[in-house]
Amino acid sequence: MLLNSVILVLREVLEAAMVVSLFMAFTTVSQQSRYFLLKAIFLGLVAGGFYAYFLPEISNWLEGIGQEITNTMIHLGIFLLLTGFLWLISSNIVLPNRLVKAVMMGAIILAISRESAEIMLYISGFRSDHFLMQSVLSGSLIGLGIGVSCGIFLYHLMIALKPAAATKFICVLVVIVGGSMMSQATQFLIQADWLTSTEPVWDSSHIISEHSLPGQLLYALMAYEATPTWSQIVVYLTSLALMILVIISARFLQGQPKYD
Amino acid sequence: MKNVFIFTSMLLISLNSYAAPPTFEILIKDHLFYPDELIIPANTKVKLLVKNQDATPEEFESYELNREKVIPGNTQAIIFIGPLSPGVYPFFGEFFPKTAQGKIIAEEEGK
Repeated sequence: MLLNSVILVLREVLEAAMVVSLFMAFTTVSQQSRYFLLKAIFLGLVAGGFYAYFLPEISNWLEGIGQEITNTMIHLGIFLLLTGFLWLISSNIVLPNRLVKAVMMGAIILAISRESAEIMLYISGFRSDHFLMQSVLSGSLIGLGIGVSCGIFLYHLMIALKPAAATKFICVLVVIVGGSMMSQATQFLIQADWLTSTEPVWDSSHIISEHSLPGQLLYALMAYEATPTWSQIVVYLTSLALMILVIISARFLQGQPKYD
Repeated sequence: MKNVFIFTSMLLISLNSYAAPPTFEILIKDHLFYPDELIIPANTKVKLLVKNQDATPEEFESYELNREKVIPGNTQAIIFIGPLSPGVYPFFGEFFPKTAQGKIIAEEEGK
């Protein structure tokens, strides 16, 4: 039970930790206070609590596909906020601008809400079993610890760079995370039967299995699928292209941005 | 006008029944799946009705099927899968993976 909790919590934490550490690094590079990000983390946990609490009702919406549609909305929301973030900073609108803060906070709240809801539901399942609860809680704490450490590692990796390079690196990672969000949203729409399911285009599970550690890390970073469908690939590439287009056009309209 | 309405409704109803995929039930009880091997027709979209009879939540997950869905305790969930090529597709309960293991076997009809 201990190891299982470590893996489950780590998987959930990694994805949210990516978004948080990216924005933490951006705030540090911009020499601004990180207080608003802590507020967003707290609000994300509160939202996650609500999501977990109302999940039985939410699941029943839309004839039983409420959960898929809510998850699609969350992922789409993160994508739009990340795209907004790219537009703003490429237009040379930087911190402490309130709109920049708002899109950063929104993305963190959404990212944390879904991942934390799953962890809360998982742990709450053991509330009547005190014996198992102990190992589940220790496992979850270890998983949380490893996930947060990965985030801190990424954070230090980014702030070790020069501000201009760090901002570019953050933008690249934001684009990758944004693409991953849209790929997951597509997956949920297929699961809900709102998008037609098709045969997988390829099967790379013999090279990198989704069960393996590299597979899991790649999943957290860029929603790696060993057996993706056409719709996922098309949506993934289109969203990457869209975000790059947003960066280029914002720069074009604004002239060359100054990073420092 | 009335006829148009009746015709449209009939068309919609018939389309709906035509589109309704076959449903298969899976039970979750004591952190086990019943059945733990489910045979479904290959190349056909099917609707899984997963009933969690435990008080604890479970997450139906499968890397091979690309599916994940949290099913709170004492509730049921719908998961659409397929059309699948013939083969074996393992799934598991992410919250209790030691015991909650199963597989979908997609078989061509007549075999």
